Amino acid sequence: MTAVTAPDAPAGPSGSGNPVLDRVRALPPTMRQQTLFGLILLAMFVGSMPFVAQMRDADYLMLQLATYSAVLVMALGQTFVVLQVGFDLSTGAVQGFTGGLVYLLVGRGFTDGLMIVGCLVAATAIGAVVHGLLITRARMNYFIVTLATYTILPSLLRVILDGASKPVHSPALDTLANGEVLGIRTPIIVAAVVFAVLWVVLNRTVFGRNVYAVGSNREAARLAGLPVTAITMACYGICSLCAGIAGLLLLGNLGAADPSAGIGNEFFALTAVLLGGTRFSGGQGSLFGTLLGILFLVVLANILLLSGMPQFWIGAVQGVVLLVAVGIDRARRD
Amino acid sequence: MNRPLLLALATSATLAITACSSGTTGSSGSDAPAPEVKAAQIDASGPLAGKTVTYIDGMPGNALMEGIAQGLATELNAQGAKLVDVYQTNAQNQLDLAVANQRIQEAIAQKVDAIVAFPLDANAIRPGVEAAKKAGIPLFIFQDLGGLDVTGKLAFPDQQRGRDTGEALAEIVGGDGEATVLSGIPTDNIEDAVAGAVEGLKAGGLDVVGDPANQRNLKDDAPGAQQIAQGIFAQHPDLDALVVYNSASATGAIAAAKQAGVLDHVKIATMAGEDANIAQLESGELALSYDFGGTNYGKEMAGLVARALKGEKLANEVVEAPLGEIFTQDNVGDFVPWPERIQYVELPHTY
Amino acid sequence: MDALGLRTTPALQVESVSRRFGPTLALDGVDLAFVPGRVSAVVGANGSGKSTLLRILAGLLPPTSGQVLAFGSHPVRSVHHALDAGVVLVPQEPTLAGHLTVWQNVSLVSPARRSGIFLNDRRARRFAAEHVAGLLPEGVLDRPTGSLSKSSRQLVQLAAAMARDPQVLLLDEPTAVLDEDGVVALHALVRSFRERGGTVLIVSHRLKDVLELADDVVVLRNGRVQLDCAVTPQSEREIVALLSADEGVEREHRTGTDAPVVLRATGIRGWRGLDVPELTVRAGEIVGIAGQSGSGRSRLAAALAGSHAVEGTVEVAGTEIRTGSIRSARAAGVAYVPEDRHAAAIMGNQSVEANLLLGQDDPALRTGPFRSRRGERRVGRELVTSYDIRPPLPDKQAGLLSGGNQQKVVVARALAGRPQVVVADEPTQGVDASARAAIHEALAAAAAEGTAVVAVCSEFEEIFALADRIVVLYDGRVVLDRPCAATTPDEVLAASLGSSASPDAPTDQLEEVLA
Repeated sequence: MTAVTAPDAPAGPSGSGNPVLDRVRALPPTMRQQTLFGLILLAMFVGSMPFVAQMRDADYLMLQLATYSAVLVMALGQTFVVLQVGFDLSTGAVQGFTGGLVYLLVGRGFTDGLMIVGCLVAATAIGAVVHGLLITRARMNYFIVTLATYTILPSLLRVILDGASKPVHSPALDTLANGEVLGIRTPIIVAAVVFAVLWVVLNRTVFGRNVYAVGSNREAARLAGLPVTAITMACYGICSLCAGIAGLLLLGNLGAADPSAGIGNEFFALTAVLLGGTRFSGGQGSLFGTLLGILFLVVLANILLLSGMPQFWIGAVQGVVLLVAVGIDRARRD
Repeated sequence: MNRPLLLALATSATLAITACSSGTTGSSGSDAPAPEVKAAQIDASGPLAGKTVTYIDGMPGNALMEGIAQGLATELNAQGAKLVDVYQTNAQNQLDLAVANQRIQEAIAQKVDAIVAFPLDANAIRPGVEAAKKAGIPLFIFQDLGGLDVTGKLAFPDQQRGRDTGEALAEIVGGDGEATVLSGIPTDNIEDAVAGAVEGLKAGGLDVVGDPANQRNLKDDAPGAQQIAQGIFAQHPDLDALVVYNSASATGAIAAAKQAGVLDHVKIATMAGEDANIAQLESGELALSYDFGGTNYGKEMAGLVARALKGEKLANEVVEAPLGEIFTQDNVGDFVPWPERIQYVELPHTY
Repeated sequence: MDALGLRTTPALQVESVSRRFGPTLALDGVDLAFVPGRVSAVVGANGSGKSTLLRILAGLLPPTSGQVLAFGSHPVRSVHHALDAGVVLVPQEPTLAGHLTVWQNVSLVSPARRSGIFLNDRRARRFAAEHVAGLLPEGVLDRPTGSLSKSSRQLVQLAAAMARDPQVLLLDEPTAVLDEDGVVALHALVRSFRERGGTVLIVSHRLKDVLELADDVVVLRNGRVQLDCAVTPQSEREIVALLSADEGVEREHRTGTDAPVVLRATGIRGWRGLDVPELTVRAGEIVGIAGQSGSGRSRLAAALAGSHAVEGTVEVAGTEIRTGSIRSARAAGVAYVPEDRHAAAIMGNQSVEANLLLGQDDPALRTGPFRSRRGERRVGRELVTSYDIRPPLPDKQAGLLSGGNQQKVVVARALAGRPQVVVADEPTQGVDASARAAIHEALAAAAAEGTAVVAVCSEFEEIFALADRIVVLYDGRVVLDRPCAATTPDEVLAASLGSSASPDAPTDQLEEVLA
């Protein structure tokens, strides 16, 4: 009788006869998707090499990586929030606002170390305390809460900066954003460190496993005794902390605090997160996917721009690519 | 449920208050101390005593806009007229094309003696222009916009500004090499200035490479300019000169040049310099900054308004705004910040 | 089908239909015909493909190959095709607009609700009343559907389906969420629909439904038709042979132990009229909580498990837990199996292993804040093996498991931490016989090791099979609390209906309840 209840025993042949394809099929779905995505990325990159000279220029490529390191860091933080179901609309605003904080603290004679710690603590507080508590305890919708921050912070930033771009001189941030260590630009190293730390947190700690659980089924996680509120607050905190780091990189890079800095980056980061296979419905996705998403967008933007595509069209192409990527994912799931 | 809510609100409030309270004091921390802003002093014995002029401004926090308004106020107040400065911003505090008409209607209702407007769009402001004409109130606009039938216009020498910048930069580079222009959102001012810059660079003996129409900083901010400039430096590794269309773009272009390691080689010039660019000029990161002299634009417009208020019959009178000044490493010491050129005053924003 | 069926045009004709989900072949060349005027039952274990077949018949899912013809000529390719041909599905889980009233839901797609382009509410309400009559009291018509019990909502769903004037009615596990009254009403409705020449298809893993209602039966197994015949005493035996899994030996009821009291709840009040002055459960005891839907049985379970705040105290082995704090209850050793598997227990897009390990605080699973992958794999594999979760692949997505295996995962998770108390709300709802037996066995084994077990079951037979003691709730209060051995199903039913005496004619219903 036991045979009746074994419906998932291999039913019929499913092999294609092609060993490589079979091995790809045997991978878990997310990994399969990422492998595919990685291959497409590689193909685009290699394919563009003969036509776009800059794609063969290691210095230029590293420069591009360094430039997009800030938004990568931001997207990595956003991945945590999306994984536990949610979206932080305010990451770009926090990024810009951090610039304002640096301007304030440097102006008041804080040392570089204190200034950096202060900025990051303030950024984390915005996410963990303001967003986290309003969303979990006051039960306000995450979209509304972060939309409010998205409007409040740029406004405060204008107040701080008197509405104009202000030069800020901070040797530490200048090194952080424009330096080189062993021939590698420091923003790339910063992003790599953030990636490594967050990867360990998400994949190797109990907390990380719980993030997936909360995102997959919040009620099940609650009933199984997970500290759901604390996990959500921590995710928003991580997200804002990353936005703060991105803000320091941006400020160091520009050497100025700009009143409109950061705005718009949240959607670029979110696009990368979603392209990387992290699902809005929560519980599925990875930091590696987000990294691939950013690389993909950067390679795409460079190919389009450097091959002389009219600039006005680039946004349209990126949007269509997002739709196609998510659409394929959707179709493969059904 | 109440306690966490309070905690969250308290944290946001603390952050906000820290930010705001230090906003005013903070600016003195890293900048040269700004001159004291006084209340407007109206000379009651002037020829325009008792007249009220409405200026329909852009939005607060823009140095050029501020300079124009202050220039306008200085000159009109000296002659005895009061200037009311209203913004074209909506409830979300954003520039809004539709607001100009509303402001004109309000001014008409207040029975002001003249209206000056900085139109954001020639077509959007047309109903307001018609209304002012019907009410018999003289209306003046900045920029020589075609198709608008007004009392007077102050034409901006955008093409000339670009040309002067381009020629001067070409001279700094030595009259030989590659150059290009980083453009912005395609408005008439920017398009004219960019066209002028291209002309000027060519006239100065440089080869213009790349296509400015496809090198636009559509975000209009420094990070946006940085990305475009990176592309420019990558495509033209031998570039010698780069003209950018505004102040923030200069900041972005400098950051990109620094990253690409070409800052020593590429000379960067901005066609619309602000105070922030002077610091860049002093440190040698920027080669040239074209100073509009926004206050002069305001003063010139005030002269035009005064003519009409004194009884001169004007119709579509076009006056050329004065040319600005070019600052380079050589004469950067002579630079005087706009607020020190004239006395900036606290402008009334209501009637 | 039988000889008779071949002469009439079948209402639904299934022609070599196969359906593949990734590597799994859910249906494998199924050929079937369903004749008008007969009730057919499709039975099989969880994962045998019966739900897939039903969804294909309703046009919700396209077959990978083959086709379905309605009334000989209309191919069913989408829900619209199916509805046009009069094929209406009543899903297992109610899919109604909760904020609309009952009559609005029933008349939602009916032409009766309109005069021209305008809504005609009075006519629509009258129309809805006709269809609700016999299923639910008329008083519910104006209530928001979301405020009704799950059982009542299912009946509203049924009324809404009948309001479409169907030719073929597809019922997916129709009795899974129905209470006893609802089952009676459903049976009456199905029989009268058949009299009027309607075709009914019931998918169920409850043999009871098959033997009582159906004229024909189809047994599916691993996506293939195993048996397709009329229900006769001979075929019954064959069906039973195919389906009666190791139904589980009845557990011996334990009575009068002097084991220490592990769970003691006193003065539980609040939350829509729950009022339980005292409830105690001893170590090793299994207490079954019975009651009609809405009687407060699930609310009591949730209160005991700490999932919902109520007045009163809950103590576990002397430690008081904060009601409404799952974490405090967990810390005191209470494990909870919630009623709604999909909404509150299974993480569908996570692996079986992740589901098993959710919330476990076994020290083998971690080193400080870090996960111990080796420990996780070992514990996951052990649980998969010891609870016989199929397929035995810890990495498989839990959402792809059959309902019975998902429920085994949930129970395994609850029991893995060797809790002092297990509160299981409908631990076997919507699972097949063998999974039910396995779950019963697991709960009994936990009790044998000293765990106090509280199990809420809507089916009385299940309580008698599983529990030592039975507690019956009516309107939020305990109306009966007796060892199973000292009570009878009649008494339990009567108590659950609010009468201390025997109901007027209990025997009719009991035959159905305890068939």
